[in-house]
This record gives sequence, structure tokens and C-alpha cells, in this order.
Amino acid sequence: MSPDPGVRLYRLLLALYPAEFRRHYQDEMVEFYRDRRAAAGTGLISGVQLWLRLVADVLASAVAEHATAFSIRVRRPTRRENTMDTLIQDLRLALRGLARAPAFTVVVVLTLGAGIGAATAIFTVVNAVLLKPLPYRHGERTVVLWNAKAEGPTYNAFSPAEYFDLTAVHAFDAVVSIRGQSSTIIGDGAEPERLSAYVVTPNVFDLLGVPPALGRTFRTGDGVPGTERVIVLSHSLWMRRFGGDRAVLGRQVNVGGFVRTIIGVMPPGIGFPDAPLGFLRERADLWIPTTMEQYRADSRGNQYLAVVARVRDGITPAQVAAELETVSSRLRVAFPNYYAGPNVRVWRYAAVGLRDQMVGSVRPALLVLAGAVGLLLLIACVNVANLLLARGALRQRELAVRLALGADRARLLRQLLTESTLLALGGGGLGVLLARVGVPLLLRLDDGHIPRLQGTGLSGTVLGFSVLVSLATGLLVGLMPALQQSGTELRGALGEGSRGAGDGRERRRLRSTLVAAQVAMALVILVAAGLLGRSFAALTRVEPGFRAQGVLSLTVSLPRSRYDSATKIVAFLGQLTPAVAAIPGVSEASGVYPLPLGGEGWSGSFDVEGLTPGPGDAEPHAEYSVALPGYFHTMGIPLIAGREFSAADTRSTPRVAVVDERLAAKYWPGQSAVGKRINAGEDAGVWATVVGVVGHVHRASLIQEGEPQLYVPFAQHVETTLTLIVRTGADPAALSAALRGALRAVDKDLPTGQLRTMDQLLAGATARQRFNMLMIGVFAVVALGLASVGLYGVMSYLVSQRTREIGIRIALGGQPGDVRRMVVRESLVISVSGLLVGATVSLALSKVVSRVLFGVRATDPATYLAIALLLLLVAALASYGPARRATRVDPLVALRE
Amino acid sequence: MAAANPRPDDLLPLRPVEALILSMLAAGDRHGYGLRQDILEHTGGKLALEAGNLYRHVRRLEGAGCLAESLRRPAGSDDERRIYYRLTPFGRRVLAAEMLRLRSLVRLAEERRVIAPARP
Repeated sequence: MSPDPGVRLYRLLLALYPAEFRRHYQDEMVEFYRDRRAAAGTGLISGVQLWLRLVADVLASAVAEHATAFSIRVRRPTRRENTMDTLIQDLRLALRGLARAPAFTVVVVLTLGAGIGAATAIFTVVNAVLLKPLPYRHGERTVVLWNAKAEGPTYNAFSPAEYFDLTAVHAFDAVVSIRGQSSTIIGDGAEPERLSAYVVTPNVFDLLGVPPALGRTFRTGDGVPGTERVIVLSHSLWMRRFGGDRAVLGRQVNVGGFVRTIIGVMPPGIGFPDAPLGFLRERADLWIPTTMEQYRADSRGNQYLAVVARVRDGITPAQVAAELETVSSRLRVAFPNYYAGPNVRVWRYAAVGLRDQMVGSVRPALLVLAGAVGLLLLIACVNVANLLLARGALRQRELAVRLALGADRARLLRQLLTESTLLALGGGGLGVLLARVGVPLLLRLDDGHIPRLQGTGLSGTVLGFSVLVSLATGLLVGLMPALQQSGTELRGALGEGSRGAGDGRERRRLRSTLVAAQVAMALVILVAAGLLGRSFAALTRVEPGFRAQGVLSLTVSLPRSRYDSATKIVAFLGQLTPAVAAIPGVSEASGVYPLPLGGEGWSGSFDVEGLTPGPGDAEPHAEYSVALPGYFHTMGIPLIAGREFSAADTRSTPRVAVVDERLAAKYWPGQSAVGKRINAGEDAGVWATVVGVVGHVHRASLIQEGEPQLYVPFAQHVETTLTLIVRTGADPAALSAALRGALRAVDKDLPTGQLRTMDQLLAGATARQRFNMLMIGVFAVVALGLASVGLYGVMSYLVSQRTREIGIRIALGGQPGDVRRMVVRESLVISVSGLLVGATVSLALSKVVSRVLFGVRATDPATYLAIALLLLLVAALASYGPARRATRVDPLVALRE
Repeated sequence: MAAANPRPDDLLPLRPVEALILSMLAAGDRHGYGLRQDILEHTGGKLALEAGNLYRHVRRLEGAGCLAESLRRPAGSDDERRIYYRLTPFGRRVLAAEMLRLRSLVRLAEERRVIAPARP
């Protein structure tokens, strides 16, 4: 036998063919498989796709071969009719048999339904997120480019000059620049609304290969300053705001302060970027064209663009990387101050496949879930196989009689398989129903954190998968008992009489092995669930650095057309802040940008007075924020030294800054940071004095610690986006209307903006982990239940098999306690062997699992131990009932039997 | 196994896949995976046979005497586990008969102006 598990599995699959076919072609087919495997690539996903194809192929052709082999054997002229007749007869027999054992049928269908339903639900998600092609014709050839400033993944933006560098790369036949610009749409009769707009170069839709649903997309010349301002709408905005009116083309609307003409509408499901691309997070509502030409001469340090490119046909990723490296090394020579200075260790242009970029972050979690659900289905299969074995033992005489009367063994085998397939299809039907109910629940649970999941439901692919899984399940659960029954034992069964003494060893061993496997699989799922649970607990224990309770936030974006000077913006805030603070129930009000955990980021370098970085040292770098007076107190961020910003810090007073404890400890270790001076992105020589030190805040996520932090007063660094925050002793959500009203009173044309409580943001920051934990937790509970049922069933069976032996023991003076111990011990032996196998498998998989963990190691001994003990406890409990029954055996009855 | 049929016409019409398999073998001996790759290439990637399906057709054609295990091996191939298939003389006649049948169909379509006649 080959050591390759794939080959072994494939050989196992080939057992489905008639023996004669197998004898002829098995070896060649295995060779064929090896070639396929070698050509299919090494990725897990290509592996799964290959196996789906292989299993479908083998199932289909094996059934056909059986039919052919059968028709050849009967040698009747009407071959086809005959096969049909037999099939119908088999079906009728199977249905009749199942109807005679309704309890058995219901239990089996329910068990398989649960397994197949869970598998279908998870496959729906995996298919939508990982397998389904991107909705762009050229999606697979599209790459996202990044300014990579360190090893590993970094998502740094490009400057316009760098975008033009990239348009000259020969490996690409189209290059697009994109930047987000959240804009307000006003006029056209409806309420002003904040939209997610993207400013793109006109070739974006040609690059992706997406034609418009209505009108036209951009063409060269659109976006040139001085020409008509045009926009393309997303389908969802068109439906939502314009009611799907086809006359919308040519209509003029005010977006971001300028009148623009609608020239096209994209098809449904296109909102490029449809999943987060680094710092571009939201799906687009509309697109605005630009040529970028007017920015060509901007500083290379002014980086705010995302760049997407389409790789020329036939160019490999390695060639792309090589050409980007050539360009990068040329730039390192041409612009050493940007790309090769003492502060830059590794710099290069890097390309990531669009699909990887979109779903790479959720892939590990989905693969873990898919693995767990696969195991769950296997556990269900084992239970059913065990039930079928038990049922088979009862039917042995019936089958033996039929065999003796001249029935064809293949025919009996086929009939048993018909029965199990019928059961599996019943389970599959139930499973699809369960998935239909479950998938919407799943989507609700996810709450929009998994990319590409929107609008997913049962599709043809998913149904095909369910049918395939059902058929495979039917074969799997039917094959083992069926082969055993139609095998050698039958010959002896008639002679054995009803005692079935000879039925013994092999069958017992088979069933024990099955249960041990079940325990092993349950351990794997439970350990994964335990680890994810502990990760989630660790995550919720993370101190965010602020007090979330009772804080409501409202993000406001001011249109640049009307708020074109710092004075106007400051005046606007001067009106708004007192109005907000005066709302009844508000105890404090302030503002900040960007809001912690709000999804936006801002970071940059700064200078420390008296510190010149040596060669090879990194430049001082920090997460920046602008804050209104009273921000730290309102947000509950501890003030460690000095003071907060106050209303007295204005444009005309000396520059000030507040730093967090980490920044203070890093640059002024052992000294007080208050009074020290830094330059936070201002012109050379403009120093800001540190007036306060505050606690560190988790700004990007709870998982990442983030960089040291630096705050500057809003009045000295005016932004057009700001998040107002208010603290209240009551329910913060109840203030929403009042907060909106205050905003409307100051400027009625502003969009309502985004209202969120800090508690919501905190919950959002743990949402993905909660989703993973809940999903796998449900699987774990079901797996545990199924495994304990399986253990109970097998122990009952083993005890009933040994009634005679136990009777003799008791007759010879054996103590009931000894007998009980014997039974429980046997169950524990089976379980422990299962646990050992399961633990080995779990450890082997720990590398995969570790990618979705936080704050706990994938090999955490405490989790392993706890789960193992839990399973042993379950095993002991499951065997206790049968053990008690064993001691009640009346020796006389047992011997007479 | 069905006895070799003395008359090619009895096997007609061939299934498209079978006609393809025989055509590939007409160019030289192939093993199973080679047949798959050849067919993949000649159908522009449209027809990707997996082992089960392929060997089912191989079995039928072998049973009908159209192809047989090849005793010669291409130079450089020393893998004993692989079996190369060759087109039997009978198989060649079957393939030719099938192609003639198809040609007359094509002619008919040309006469009826379903497709433009091919230039000779």
C-alpha cells in the first residue's frame, strides 16, 4: 500500500466498482489519480475542488458500471427495462423494510439530516466566500498593489507619482487608482445622505471587465478638469434613492458639493471594492472619475491611493513580482530619501491577488469550520452505520434464507445499498430544509463581518453539493454493514441459529473501532471549540483603554465645497458643541477623529526634539488623532500626567500635543514627557509642546496593540470629518434623535451621519470571534451528543452479546460490582484509544487552528485535558446503563438461552 | 466480455467521447492520463475526463475490440504500472466508418444551407 493518504482514499473509493472492472483498471486509475493530483496544485482549495470532482466521477461511473455489469450478467435482450425493474423492486423492498421500522428510520433520518444540514449550511458560506468566482470577468487576473515597507503583509497607500510608476509596468495591461471619499448627496427631493463614493481613474470597469446595467461606464476624457462632472451609480443606490427609475440617466445631482451628471448604473452585486481592500472598507454607492494628471507632480510622500492592476494574459505571479522588484530597485536609486534612506529597511512594490486580498483574512476560520462540520457529518455517519449494523444483525437470518434460496449476492448487496441510500437521501432532504432555515440565521449572526456573504442562499451548486454528500453518505454508511452481511458470515448464519455466537468477534471489533473513531473526531471538534471559546474569553478581557458604557458617537462629514476654510469649520463646531452639551441627559460632550474601533486609521511619522535617528533606526511613528477639549475625560481615557486640551488651545496659541504612555515611555524613558517638544507633521521648526500623557487605547482592533499614540487639538489641525461623542448616565441609544436634531439645527443640509454607541463598536470588534465560537460551539454540542449516543448504543450491544458469558460469571460467584466495572472499563478502553488518536490529529492540525486563535496556544494542555476528561466522563455515563443491566442478568435465563 | 464484432457499422454511432478517444489513439499510443490531457487540449479545455468516466469508455471500446493494450512502449517511458493503449485495425475501421457517417451528415447540412460549405 502506498503511504500517500490521498492514494489510499482513492483506492477505497474504487471499491465501489464491480470487482471485474476493478481488477482491470484499478492500478491504472490510481496512476491517473497521481497525475491529476500532481497537476492540480498544492492549495487546500484546489485539493477540495479536485476531490469533489473525483468523488462525483467515481460515484456516477461506478453506478453506471454496476448497471452494465448487471445487464451483461442477465443477458436479456431488454437490458434497460430489466435494470429498471430491479431498481424499482429494490426501492419497493427498501421502502417496505423502512416502513416496518419507523423508529429506526426516524432516528437515522434525523441524525443524517443534522449532519448534512450543518454541512450544507457551512458549504453555502464557503462556496459564497471562497469558491464562487469574483463577479468581475477579469477578477482572477486582477491584483491589488501595495507599498510594502516591511516584511509580511502591509497595506500602505501610494502617492500619485507612484501610481504613474505602476502604470508603466509591462506586466500589467491596465492599472487603476482608487481613493475613498465619503460624500454627501443632496437635492433631488430626498433627505441628504452620506454615501460611500470612490474617486477612480476612468478605466476601472474595463479593467475588471464589468459592463454597466444602464447607460455607460467611464471612458478616457471623463474626469478631466473643466469637462462635465459625471458619476456612475451602484445598483443598490439606484434602487434605494432613485427607485430604479430608468430615466435617471442624464439627471443632475449634487454630490460632495458639486453638481454631477449620472451617466450609468452598474449591475446588481457590483460595489467595487466589494470586500475590504486594506484601508478601503466600504462597498461603493457611486464612483467619480479622475485622471490623476493634475496630481502627477505631487510629493511622493503624499500617499493616499489604492492601486489595482490587471495582469497581462500569460504572465505568472513570479514574473509580476520580478518586474515589480526591478522597478523598485530603480526607484531606490532614483529617490533614496523616500525608498532607501537609513529609516527604510525593506521597501518594495508588492502585488496580492484580488481574491486573496478580499477573503484571505477569513479563510482560516472558514476552513476550520468546514473541517469541524466534516467531522460532525462523519460522526453522524458512524452512528448510522452502527444502527445499520445492529439492524443487519437482526436481518441476518432473512438474508441468509434468501441467499440459500438462490438470491444473487450482488443483488442483496445492491438492495442493502438501496436502503442506505434512500435513508441518506431522506436525511439530505431534511438537511437542505434545515440549511434553508439555518443559513439566514447564520447570516444574521455574522452581521456583515465576512466579505462576499451578502445575499447568499441555497443555489444550484449548494444543492448539488448536498445531493453528492447524501449519496456519498449513503454509500459510506451502507457499504460497511452491507459488505459484512453479504460477505463470508452469511454462509454460517443459517447454521448458527438464533444465538449468533459466531457473529461475535469481527463485528464487535468493527463496532468498537467505529466508536473509538467517533470519540477521536468528537475530541478534535471539542478541542477546537474549547480553544475558540478561550480565545473569545481572552478577547473580551482585553481592556480597550476607554470606558465604553454610556457613550454615543456621531460621525459628521462636512462637504468641502461649503466648508472650505478652517475658520468655517471651527465656527460650525463652536455652534454645535454647546448645543450637544445642552441636550438633557448628556453629562459630557466632545469629539475625536478617528474614533477608536470605528474602522478608520491614521498614522504617520513625527520628529522628537533632540533626537536624530541613527542609520538603520526607524523614524518615530505613531497613530495620530485630533481631539476636541475634554475628549479624554468624556471617553474615560485616564489622564496620567499634565492636562487635557482646552478651549484656550487655538490656532493663534502655541502648538500643543498629548501623547500616550507608550510614546512617552519610548522616547523619554524615565523622564516626564510633559514639556518635551515634538513636530507632528508640521513644517520644520514648528514644535508642539507635550502638555499631557494619557493611557493607551486599542484603536484599530482589540487583537492588535497598535502603535504609540499622539493627539493634537482639533483647533490646530482642522479636519472635515469628526466624530462627536457624548456621555450619558442613561441609555445612550435614546439620545440618537436629540443628537441628530442638534446637528440639523446647526446645518440642515448635512447628512445624518453614522450613529453608534461605543458598546456596539466593542461588540463589533469581537463579532468575528464570537461568530466562530458560536458556530463551532454548536457543532461541538451536537458532536458530543452524537458521540455519547453512539457509545451508549455500542455498549448496550456489547453487553447484550455477552449475556451468556456474564450469566456464567455470575453463576460462578462473580460480584455484580466486578461485572459493572468490567463493562465500564471496556467502554473506557475504547474511549481512551479514541482520545489518543483524536489528540494526535488535533495536534497535527494545531497549525491551522492557531491562525484563528487569540491569547491561547493551539496546543494548550489545559483545554486538551479538560476535553479529554469530559469525554471520559461521558463514556463512563454512557456505559453505566448497559453495565447495570448486565448485572441484572438472571444466570438461569442466560444459560438457557 | 462481448465478442469482437466483425462489422464496424454495428458499433455506430460512436459516442462523441469514444470518437475522441479513438482519434487520439490514431496519432499514437497513449496511457489513460495522456488521453485525458490530449482530449483536454483538442477540445479547448471543454472536456475534462476523470478516471472513472474515461476507463468506462476504455472498457467498452476494449470490449468491442477497438483498442487494446499496447506491447510497445514509447522511448523514455519505463513506468511499468502504466498501460498504454493502441488503436486496433478494427478500431481504425470503426473510427473511419464513424467519420464517414459524420461527413455525410455535414454534407447534408451544407446542402440545406445550415452551414456554409467548406472549401475543398
